[in-house]
Amino acid sequence: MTSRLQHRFVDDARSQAILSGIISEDADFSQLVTAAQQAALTLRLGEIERISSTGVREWILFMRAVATSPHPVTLVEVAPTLVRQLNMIDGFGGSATIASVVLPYYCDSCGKEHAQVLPLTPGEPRNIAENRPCPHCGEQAEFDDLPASYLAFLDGA
Amino acid sequence: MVAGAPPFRRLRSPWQTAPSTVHKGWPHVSETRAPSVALVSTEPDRCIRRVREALPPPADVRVAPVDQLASLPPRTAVVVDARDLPRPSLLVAAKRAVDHPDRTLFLVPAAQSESLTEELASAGGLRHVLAEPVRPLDLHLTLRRVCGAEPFPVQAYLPATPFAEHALAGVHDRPGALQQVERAAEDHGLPGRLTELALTVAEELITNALYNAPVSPGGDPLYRHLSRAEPLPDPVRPPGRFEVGCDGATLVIAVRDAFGSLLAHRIPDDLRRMVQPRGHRVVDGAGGAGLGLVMAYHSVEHLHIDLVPGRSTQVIGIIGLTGGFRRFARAGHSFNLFIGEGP
Repeated sequence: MTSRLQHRFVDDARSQAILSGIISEDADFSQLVTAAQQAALTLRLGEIERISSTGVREWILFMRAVATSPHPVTLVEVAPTLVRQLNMIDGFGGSATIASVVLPYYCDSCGKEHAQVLPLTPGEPRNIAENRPCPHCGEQAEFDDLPASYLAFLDGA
Repeated sequence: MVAGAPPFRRLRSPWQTAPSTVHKGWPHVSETRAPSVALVSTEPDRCIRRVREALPPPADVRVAPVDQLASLPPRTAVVVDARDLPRPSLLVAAKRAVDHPDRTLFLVPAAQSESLTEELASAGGLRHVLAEPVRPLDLHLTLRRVCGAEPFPVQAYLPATPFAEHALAGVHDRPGALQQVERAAEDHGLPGRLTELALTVAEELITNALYNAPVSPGGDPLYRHLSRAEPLPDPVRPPGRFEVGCDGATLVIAVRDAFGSLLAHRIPDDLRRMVQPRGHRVVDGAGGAGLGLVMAYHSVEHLHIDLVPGRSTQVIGIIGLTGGFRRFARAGHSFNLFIGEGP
């Protein structure tokens, strides 16, 4: 079965990888587990489109596997679909550090979406702007989720 | 027109269609006696007209004090308007739902739908919840069924909209069915986040129909233990059926299997788990992750399950499409679980 999840390392040291596509039962994280055992690993997750229930399990198994590494794992640009899982599923973030998340915006005027990255720097405020200028038409785009609960997973961290 | 302001005024939608014009074309809907409904509400005026108009005449719709619920005839449908209902009254209604789950419908405000639904599900008898403001057609279809009407085809949720169909006999059928969802999303210019919801519910329901539903003639699960990364050893016979329809304002997905293997004795626990807003855990080991129905429920505004034990299961997922994901997130979740009589 061909995996619907792709990853590519962005440096020779294999310290950063970009994941894209769909996390499902066929996701293969073995290369990423190996990389995490050898050095600190940063996973860029902004291009993940969706995750299935069996993908949730594969991801949690992946998080458990990298938790045994002496090196830290950092998740950046966590896509909204994964933020939903962080809020719903116990142990979804494992012991990884979540350094930033993607904030989704939707413009009612032109019907297009765009994204902003919100850094989650410890000790700094995590403000979600409810509106931002739409880069496509210039009108006000609205944050396309519930600001009060989008980062609820941080409260339980 | 139906009483109460329709939630979506900008687009013409079948949800705004008067029920009397909607149900004319369903030969499957056939109550044998006039529906009898008791309404429990602190402000009955705000919904009694909607309830009356949602039912075919001569429906008998009366306001009932909560302390009379226990003495109502079992066939009487009870509609509990949970908005502002004092807690002791809500608990009495929840008790009625335990005794007559098929005939009790709760209307909960969207803003409190998570907490109220979770609490009512914990009481053990919850089968029907509609998050307010409920779309007129949704109320109409649910009330008809709660009052005893026969199951209706999925097209009842989107009359006059063509549905694409796909047979489900093996994992190889899944990509084709998902492509039908993608095509509907593209045709109607759906935002990416709503498309993701539609694909999620489709994939979870299809996977359930292929791996969880098939049982042997003796009722033993055939493929439930298999890794979802493995193809099925044999085609599912009889095959399931996938359907998707979209009119630009609402997207409806239905998956039907010919087994009806959802276990009735597990239903209260499964529903309690399904409606939990957070704190879900995966099931380790081979087989499914135990989250399929959970993810389906949280990816739709309305999940409608029709179970005929030993015969069939049809799960319908409905997503409103106006206003982006934010409106979806605010809309709350509705569900129905109808259990028919098996062979």
